[in-house]
Amino acid sequence: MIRLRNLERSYPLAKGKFFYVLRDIDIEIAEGEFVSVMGPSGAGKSTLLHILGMHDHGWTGEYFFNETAVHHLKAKERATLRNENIGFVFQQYHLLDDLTVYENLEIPLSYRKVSKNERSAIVADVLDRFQIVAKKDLFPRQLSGGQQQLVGVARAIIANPKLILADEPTGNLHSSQGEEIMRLFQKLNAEGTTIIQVTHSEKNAGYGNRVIQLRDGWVVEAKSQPTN
Amino acid sequence: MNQLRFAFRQLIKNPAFSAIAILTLALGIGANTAIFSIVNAVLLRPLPYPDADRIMVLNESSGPGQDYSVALPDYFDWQHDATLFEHLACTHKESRNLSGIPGRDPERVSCASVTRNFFNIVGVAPEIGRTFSEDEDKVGAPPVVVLSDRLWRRSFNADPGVLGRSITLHDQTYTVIGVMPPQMTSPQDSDAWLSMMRRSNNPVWNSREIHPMIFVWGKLKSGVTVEQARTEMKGIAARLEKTYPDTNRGETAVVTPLLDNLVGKYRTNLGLLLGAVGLVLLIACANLANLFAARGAARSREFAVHAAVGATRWQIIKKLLIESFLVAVLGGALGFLIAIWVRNGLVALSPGDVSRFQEVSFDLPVLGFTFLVASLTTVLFGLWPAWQASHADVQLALKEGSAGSGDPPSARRARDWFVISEIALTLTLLVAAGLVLKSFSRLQSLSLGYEPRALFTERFELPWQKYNDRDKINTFAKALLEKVRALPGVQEAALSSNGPLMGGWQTGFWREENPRPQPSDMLSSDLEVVGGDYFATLKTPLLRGRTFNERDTKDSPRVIIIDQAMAEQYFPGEDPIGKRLGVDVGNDGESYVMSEIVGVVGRMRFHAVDEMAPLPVIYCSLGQAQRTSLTLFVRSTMAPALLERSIHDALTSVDSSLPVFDPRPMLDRVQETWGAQRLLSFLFSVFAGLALVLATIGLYGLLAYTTLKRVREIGIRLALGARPAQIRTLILSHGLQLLLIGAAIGLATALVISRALQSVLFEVKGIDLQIYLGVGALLFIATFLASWLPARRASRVDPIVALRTE
Repeated sequence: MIRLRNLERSYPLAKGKFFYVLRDIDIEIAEGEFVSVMGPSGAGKSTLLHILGMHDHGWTGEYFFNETAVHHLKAKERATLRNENIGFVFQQYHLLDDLTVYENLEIPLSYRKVSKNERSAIVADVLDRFQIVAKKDLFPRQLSGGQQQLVGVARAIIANPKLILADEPTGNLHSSQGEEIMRLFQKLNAEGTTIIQVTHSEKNAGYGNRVIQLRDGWVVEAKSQPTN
Repeated sequence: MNQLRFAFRQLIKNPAFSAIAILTLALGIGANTAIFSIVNAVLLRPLPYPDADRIMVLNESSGPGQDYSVALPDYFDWQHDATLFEHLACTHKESRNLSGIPGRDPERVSCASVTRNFFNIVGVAPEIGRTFSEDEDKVGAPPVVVLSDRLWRRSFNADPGVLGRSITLHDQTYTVIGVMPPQMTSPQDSDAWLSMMRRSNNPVWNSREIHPMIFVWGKLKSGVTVEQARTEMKGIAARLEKTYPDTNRGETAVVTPLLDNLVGKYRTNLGLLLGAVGLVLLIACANLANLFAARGAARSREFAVHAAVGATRWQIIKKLLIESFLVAVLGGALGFLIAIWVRNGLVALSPGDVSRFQEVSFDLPVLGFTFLVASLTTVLFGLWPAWQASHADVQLALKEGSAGSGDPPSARRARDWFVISEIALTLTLLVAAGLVLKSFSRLQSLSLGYEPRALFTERFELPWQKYNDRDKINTFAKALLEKVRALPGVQEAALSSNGPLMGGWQTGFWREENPRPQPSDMLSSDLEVVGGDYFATLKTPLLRGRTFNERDTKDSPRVIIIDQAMAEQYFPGEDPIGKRLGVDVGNDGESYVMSEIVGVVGRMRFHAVDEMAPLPVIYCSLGQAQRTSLTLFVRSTMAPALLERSIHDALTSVDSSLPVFDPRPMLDRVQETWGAQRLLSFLFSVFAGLALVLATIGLYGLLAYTTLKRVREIGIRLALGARPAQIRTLILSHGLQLLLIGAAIGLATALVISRALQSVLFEVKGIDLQIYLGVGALLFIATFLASWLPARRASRVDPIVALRTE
């Protein structure tokens, strides 16, 4: 599904020098995998995730997504590719404060030319699937952290993406809430969604089937592991 | 004092913010101060006479808009019957040639014949000498004159020895008996006062049919209201109507306070301008309220710390209000300077014929007004942000730091409403400006019936003692016109008793076929006596028949020319040429004479360029009607200054004792009548432009601030798949939403304002689709521009950065 070749990300410093965040990244991720990206702070995990999510365009190298050469695409084409294939889950949930749960779920669909009626049906289905129907009219501030992240995951999958990118999805949750979210990811993965998460937690990494270790921008280890 | 110092420090800390706030306020307060200085000078400043509010001007009228002067016998009856006036005096304005002063050329002075009690009414004692005694104000009394301070200084170098000296006014010798102080110039800018009753045996004046430009001044008894006086005078006029039905039918008496008489017609215009400039200030305040609220939000941590260490809400509000007050005072001071700076420009735009407009000054009341407005604005723009800041959640503010994550919905709504009200007020002002401009443009493009360009005018008075018959006047006129026509660059020259925009003389008339009506039933027309090729000089088209020629003399059959309005009104479907009218052309010892119509000319706008229903005009030849007060019209492409000198030389060569006055291009006279409209349209345009700029800045400021506050939201939206165009639409639609609500409200207020404006509009309806659409388009463009930059910035938000800042 994803193939990165010699991918590098750097920021210019003074006197023509550069600071490299990612160096010579070669990664392949197959469809249906549940990959955890780990490493210390500043290793380049989040940067890698944003490059995979096609938010970051300032990299060099090759990036193939389902055999499409992303490095040859224009920004608009990348946005289309992203909208069709990728969902995001954030550590801080990033729900929109002024929108209800229902409206937050509707947002990604509104950016994908889904008709109003269809949107209603999809949102209703997801609310039901995540068992949050009763909370559809609440605002994010009226939910617990776990519930907010639940909505965050629901929002990520609502447009039926092939890939979910999750940046420390349980970082702000206590352990039982975290476990619930990870089980949810596992379930989604089992249903066929590819998941790439950034995490510091070995335990959470254990829910996936592969770990990629980054350090100072380099891939230092990529190993498969048995799922929990 | 400490608080003021802190506030000052805060201003210095944010120089850009302070400069924008002070400048915004200075523009608003400056505009208000400038307009108030005019209102103060024209409408509010008391007249320089004691108990001036009790001084009234009285005239006769046959209905609304049909005011005219008072017949002398009616005045005598009023004086006899009225009980609510301390005095009722007669005034009659005329200009005379002053000569006989060694070392000085003859000059024309503005004289007023008044009854002796006129000086009691104005209540001002002479500077030196005295006013008329009872014996000097009756038929057969020796001629005496009281001079104005201005004339005394100009012609006599303020010599106290002027008392008892003789001066010549129109070849008659008068003895100077007094000099009035500088403030005394009534009625209408007079330079010399003569006794009126000396001439009260004038047979023309003693007819109730004739209203010879006599106006009555009265001073109400203490405690009497204007309404009481009006009721009494109407009763007296009704009695006179019964007693003298032939002459007084339908006539009533009108009582007007002196100040209203002088400047009443400008009250509406100035009121509208004050209203318009008030709206500009409100827009400026709304802008500042938003600006201060945004800064308050950015300083929430500071206020939270204040609150955490024990400050009460009121103490925080007070702190912020002091900061606002400091901005207001500095804005007010700068505004005051701006008002002083624009003063001369405003005066130049004002109607030149009203001296009170020229007296605009920045005295204590204007300074007080500026301070009052500045203080008021402190509350208008400072209170809400201060209240908002004082109600911030301390815990949240301390936790989140100064960046904050977003404002409470109530604050956002309030901010939106400030901008909505700015848009509504701006639309109202733009519509008003559009209407006034269109009206002014209509006025300027009017066909006047004559061509004022390249037409020069000068006025002069022939002393009636010297020019006491038609032959002498004609000889003079012929000689003068010949000399002037011979001047290089002169194409045509003509004379007129009272040309367009130079006052008028009305007469009664009737058609020969009809029986002669009673004087009060007589049809009315303007009467103009003309000499030379008047219509060719003014480029007024001759529609039928012929113009006057040299064969039209006092001994030939009386002929007249009528204008198109009279032909259409009184000869519909007929050829008026050859028909005869009974007309009184005002010759001494002569009344109505049957006169044959020999020509029809185009209609001129005679008394004012915006007159809607002018009286028809009858023209009579100078060869057949006697006039001594004349205007010379010269069509020439020569520069006015050169032409004036040449004409002066030509006139002097014919009669060296004649002073000319009021030499001006005709176009100046036309433009002068636009004075009020010009001032209104110019200032409305300036204020509407200012409002548009302020509202655009306000909208831009709001959207820029909102975008800043929504960076996180925008980042999330982008991360969730929003395209830049969709983010741009998000911000643009916010701006357009505000525009739509503001425009809907503004439309309603504009309709109300349009009605109020109707009275000052010329040939423009209050509801003018073209203007409304134009204003709508202008506001749309302004909104789009104001929204585009924040929208573009929003669409360029980097979701990675936006989400990381969280």
